[in-house]
Amino acid sequence: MNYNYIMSTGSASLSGSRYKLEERNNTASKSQYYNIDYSVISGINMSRVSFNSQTLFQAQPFYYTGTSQVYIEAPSGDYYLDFSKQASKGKIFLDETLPVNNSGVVLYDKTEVDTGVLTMHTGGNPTGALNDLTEDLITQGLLAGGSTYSGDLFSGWDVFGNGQKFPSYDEFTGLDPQVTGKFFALKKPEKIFEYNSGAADSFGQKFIPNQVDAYINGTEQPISSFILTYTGVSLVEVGKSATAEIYKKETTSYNL
Amino acid sequence: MSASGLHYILTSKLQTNERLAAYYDFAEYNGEVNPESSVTYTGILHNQYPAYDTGKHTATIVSATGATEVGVSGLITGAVSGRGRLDQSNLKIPIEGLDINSMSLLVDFQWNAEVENGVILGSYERFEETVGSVDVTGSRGFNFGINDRGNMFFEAYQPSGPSIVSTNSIEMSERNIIGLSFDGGDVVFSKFDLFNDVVDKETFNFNSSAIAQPTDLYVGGSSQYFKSSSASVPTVNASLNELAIFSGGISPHTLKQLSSGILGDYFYNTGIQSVQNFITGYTDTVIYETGVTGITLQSAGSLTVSTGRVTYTGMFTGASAVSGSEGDEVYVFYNYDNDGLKTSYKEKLGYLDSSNSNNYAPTGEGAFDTLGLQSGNYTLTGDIALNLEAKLSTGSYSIYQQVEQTGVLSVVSGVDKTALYESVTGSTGQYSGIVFNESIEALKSDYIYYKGLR
Repeated sequence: MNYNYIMSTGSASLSGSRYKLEERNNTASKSQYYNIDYSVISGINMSRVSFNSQTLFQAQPFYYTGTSQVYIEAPSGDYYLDFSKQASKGKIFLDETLPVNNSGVVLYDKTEVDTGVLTMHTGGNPTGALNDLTEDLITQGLLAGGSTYSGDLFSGWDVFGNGQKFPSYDEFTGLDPQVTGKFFALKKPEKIFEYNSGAADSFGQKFIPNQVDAYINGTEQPISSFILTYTGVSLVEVGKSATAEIYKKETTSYNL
Repeated sequence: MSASGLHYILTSKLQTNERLAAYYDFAEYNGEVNPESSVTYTGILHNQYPAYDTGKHTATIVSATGATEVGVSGLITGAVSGRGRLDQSNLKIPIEGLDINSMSLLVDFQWNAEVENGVILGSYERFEETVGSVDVTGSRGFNFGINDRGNMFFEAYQPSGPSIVSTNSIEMSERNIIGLSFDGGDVVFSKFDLFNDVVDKETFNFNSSAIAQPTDLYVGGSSQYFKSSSASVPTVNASLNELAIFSGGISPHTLKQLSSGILGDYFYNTGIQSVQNFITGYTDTVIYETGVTGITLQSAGSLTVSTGRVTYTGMFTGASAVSGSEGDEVYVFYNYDNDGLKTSYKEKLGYLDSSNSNNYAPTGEGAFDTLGLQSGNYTLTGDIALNLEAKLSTGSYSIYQQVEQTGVLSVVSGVDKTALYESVTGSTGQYSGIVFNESIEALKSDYIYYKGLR
């Protein structure tokens, strides 16, 4: 098991560590669509969404005016957001090929504005060719970010294959060349510490409360699966009292 | 940490500091030996500004007691210098009118080591007594503290018996700013996440109006707690940065705002000062015509004037010989007296000497020289000598000119209105607020625990 935690470390001052607008680990409600808080996600290209732990790539919507209505096309992505109409705000429009049902869990975070880079891979490459080809395609799209080599790519970007996050460059290079699908990169947030280990618990690294993203084997986990606290707290220890002493029940009482 | 920051938030959110019953900032004030103590000296910690009445709720540093002032000073330093070290000493705060049924707390504290249970603010007492033939249990006060799991608890006696409520979703950091509020029906625990600007809170139904009034509040201990034998025994291994006790219930949202005042410092920027003049009225001034009011003479200089009659002076000569040259001009005067009417005339005569026999030869190139005039003696015959002199009297006389005098006439020509101003100094762009200068590392969490493996 690989445990990958992305912790917001902030800065030395409180004003440099405030993340009110980047509320994390929000859970979308489900009605006809998955609904998000559009006071948090207030525009396109500023969200990171996962569906049943698989991180999705945001499509760019194109608008075409027909005779009686406006048509939207959103190619090459897993979901799109539409802020052109009030009725569309706050709705996540998922790709219709995704297996949507009422038990699905959609998590979303607010991010810096970033479109990310998507590339499709059809497979059939010799060993080692997949990561080289994919990396080249991704880095070509990230020229604006200055990423021209692999080390920089993985330090500044989260790289996903079919919605699964690669914890590090090593896992990426070891990928089976026959794997096909969507590969994409999303920009990492700033002021973070990334924990990547086979051990489930992380301790000692200071982070801002409730500002952690967690991936297990590359799949995003709801933060409710974790307790974010202080190392001094004994979470599981036999013999410790969780409450104060319970006194015997009295039959009559009054106050002085 | 600043009293000014708390005062700013208090007045901006609660309009007044009346609700702040007690405030102890351990970084700002480190206690002192009670000046009223003798023989047995004790350490005290005064209630501090901006508390409403700093004369009340003077805390006693329980462990700081001894026979010498020096010794007690050392104990005070160990207990409350910089921080209120609750592992060293509890503090005893007299109630002094504070209503135990309705109050709120703000506590800024941090663990000295691992989390372990203890009382942060306690006053709980339970006792049994016999009333007539019935054994009854009475109580007063409450305990507010942290359990071993790092959850806050509130313990007091309810009409139905002993009662305790505990949070289960509010996680601790190394340093924590927590709140407690109760006002009759509910007890509300809160922990303030200033990073995310949110309040973690839990509310429990609790009849705090049934809590009887104790005499003292103990910071760090309680008379009734399972691991201590008395209120003087420290129960919690933590240090206080600041403690504020408010009268009445205060919502967690407002407590969070107040917590920013505890952690931050007040600042004020004066912006740009400017002076504006506002017209407050007018002063009327009557204007009169100006014009000629009279004439005056002033000197314009002087004039010299000759006056009198011309007089002639001379000497009657009759006939006289005159030496001269031919061509000389001489005047001969003649007087006439015609029966008293006297007059005179003069005649201009020229002379050519007959001895020259009318023989003239040029003697040079000059005008007379060409005539060949010669010198000689001749005789003039007349009544008066040839000298003539005119005598006139002269004098200096002043000259004057007329000058018009101008001035204000009595004729009104109009009214001049002069505006009156009031100058008001104002500022634009001024702002104030709270700035966080404290190190916030201890406020962060540092432990991620995965529940999925357990």
